[in-house]
Amino acid sequence: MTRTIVISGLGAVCPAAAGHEALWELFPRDGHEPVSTVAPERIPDAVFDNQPAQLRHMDRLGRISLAATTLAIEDSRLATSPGDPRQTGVVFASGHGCLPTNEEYLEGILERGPRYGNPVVFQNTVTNAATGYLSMVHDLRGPTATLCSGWAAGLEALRFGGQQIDEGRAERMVVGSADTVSPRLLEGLSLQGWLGTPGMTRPYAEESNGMRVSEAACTLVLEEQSRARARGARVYAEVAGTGQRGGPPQAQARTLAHAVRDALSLAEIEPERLGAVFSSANGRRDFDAWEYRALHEALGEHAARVPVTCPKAVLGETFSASGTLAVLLAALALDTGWVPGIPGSPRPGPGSELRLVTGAARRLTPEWVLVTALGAEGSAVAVVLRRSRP
Amino acid sequence: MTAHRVVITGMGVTAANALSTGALARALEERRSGIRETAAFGTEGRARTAGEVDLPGPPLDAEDRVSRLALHAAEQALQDSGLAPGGRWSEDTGVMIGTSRGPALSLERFMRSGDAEARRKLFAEVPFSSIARNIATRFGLGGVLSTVTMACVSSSLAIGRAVDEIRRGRASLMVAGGADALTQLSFSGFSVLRAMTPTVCRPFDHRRNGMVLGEGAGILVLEALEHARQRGAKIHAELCGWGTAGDAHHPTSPHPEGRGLQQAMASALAQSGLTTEEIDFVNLHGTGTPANDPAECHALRQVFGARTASLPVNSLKPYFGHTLGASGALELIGSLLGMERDFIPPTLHCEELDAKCDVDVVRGEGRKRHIDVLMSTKSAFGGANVALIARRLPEAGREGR
Repeated sequence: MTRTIVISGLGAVCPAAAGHEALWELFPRDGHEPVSTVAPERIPDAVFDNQPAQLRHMDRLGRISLAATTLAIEDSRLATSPGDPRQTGVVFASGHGCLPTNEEYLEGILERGPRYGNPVVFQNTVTNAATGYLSMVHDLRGPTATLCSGWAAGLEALRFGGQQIDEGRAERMVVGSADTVSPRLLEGLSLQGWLGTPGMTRPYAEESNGMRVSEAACTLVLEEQSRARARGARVYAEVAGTGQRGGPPQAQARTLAHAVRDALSLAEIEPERLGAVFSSANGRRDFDAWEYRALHEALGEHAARVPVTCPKAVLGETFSASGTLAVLLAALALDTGWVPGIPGSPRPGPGSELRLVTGAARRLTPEWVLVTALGAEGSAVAVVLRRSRP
Repeated sequence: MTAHRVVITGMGVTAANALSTGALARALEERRSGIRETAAFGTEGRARTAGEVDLPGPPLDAEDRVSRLALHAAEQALQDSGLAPGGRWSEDTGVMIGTSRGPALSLERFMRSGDAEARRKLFAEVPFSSIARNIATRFGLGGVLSTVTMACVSSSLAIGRAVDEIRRGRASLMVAGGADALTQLSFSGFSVLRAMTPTVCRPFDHRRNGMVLGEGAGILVLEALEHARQRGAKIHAELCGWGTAGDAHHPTSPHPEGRGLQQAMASALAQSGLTTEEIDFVNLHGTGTPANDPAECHALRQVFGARTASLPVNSLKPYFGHTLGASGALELIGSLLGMERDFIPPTLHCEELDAKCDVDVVRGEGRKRHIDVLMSTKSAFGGANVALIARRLPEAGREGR
């Protein structure tokens, strides 16, 4: 990248927290262990019940996305210094998109006939309805995109946002991702054999038996460092490099390894300089094995030395939001020097040689961190963040 | 930072009036539409016609219809580019696919089915990303894998993003475009919104009263100019600029002045380094709805000023319907086929221009015209807009066609 792009706004909503400070508190550091917050898996309505009246037709995906985005824009102070709206773009990502809204519309017409479809529901059956709502409420008129590339889509949105600034098409980009949970989604995931039994999610652990899922939305504000500094915004971290790859699902480990190497190359660092890894391992044994192999393939011997944490052990698998939530936590780790921990003391699975950060957050003061996201359908994205420089 | 020039070396289509680029070129020259009464499902609303594809080959249980539409076009595009079969694939070849409805038919079947094993298989197709995944898997592609779902601008945005990947050296080859299948969900939804015509789609005509839905796919093979030259590939055109911008106005209606579209066109022009005087022709979205066409024409006048009076424009929707997420790629390919034949296809059924659409709409027999540079614009729900600019390579006499 030719410009220094930074994260200058953080917003997140999940069942146990609204706002990045509340989210950070889920990963305590004073000897207290984090606890899994996956149950209940739905975000309380109170998080988004004060949204503008003219947007009463939004579906749940739009509502939680707007809640996270409003928090991020407030945090970035863009509300008080918005600048030219044509210079602020928005990219929104979702793994499963408006699947629940499509179900709702289809249920209606399958039951009563196609002429009785609900037009209000129909307008939300396109995933970019959420993007449209975000742009309307916050007057975001720059480059716009909606991505639905599976579970890695959140990090892909971050990559796209950075590219728009790097290309000079926008001064800043609002990067959001969200997924909601529906009974049919849970049923579909269960049919694939991907859901674990109730209890804690244990990425990389011998006792892991599947993932647990949750709703979440997370939004980040990206902009060029000099502009962020000039308007007095808080700078959490630099986006130093990104990599995105894809391929047949059976080649997931190689795909992620490529993405990691691309991100490191763009950041112009060797693997040994990474101070922490925010892994997308989620407790699915095959998924975690791909991630494990990818880290070893891309980082070499450093894979066994670098501290690795897994936010999904606390937050669950939140699909597209997982990647952006991990970036949010990684940015706070760079900003504060504390790397979040994994609850409990999972017994490493067979062949595992990773230095997991277990228990309370650890004082590690990394300068560089890696965040990974692996999709279930063959996509992989990696992001390298750097501690903000004055 | 190096910026590579990006060229189109392969094109493939699946449409109601054509299952190949050759057939599409002939259909456009003969002004032949594929719109007919739909047999896909019973229609109860006011609209009964659609651009339905007669897809060759038996249905496959493993792939949603939208993937089959896309794979048909992708195979053509790769063959056209000289890369298939047995082509030289690399892990730098990515797939960027746009779709509005994705595999909605699999979702519908998933909801109807009571068989657990059938439901398990169907759910694997339900994610939007299954189309790109199926292309990557079928052709062994291991570069960037991405799915854009931006309603009617989906494939235009996918193409623009693919251009960026190559321009910045992140990929040497990209398979990009989009697909959408006819679904009861869309047919019912646009019908209850009263966006569909009970008669015929008449873009820019004062009697226009809605769109006609279609299905299809348009897939392009894009690559860096030097990469194409090295392997001696034929070159259809250069993609030299693109832009995207939001209206921030309404969930389903365009900004009345085409606010975002103006900016998308300006952004595409800026990237291409071209002036409005150098654009020879614009393929508009032209849905035939009361709100869309005037907004587009207003945006055109704002960007092109006095040049608008002599700037030919058209809409290709009456040929194969509004193919939603596929429309950007399909209509770009249709326009390029016209450019290669020095022909601008007419806008079918546009007989009396609406005063609000007072621009140079190509009608009647079409227009013989040498085109060096064309622009294709699309707009979508959520206020999304994309503009793409393609040009004949100046040195096309040597390697173009």
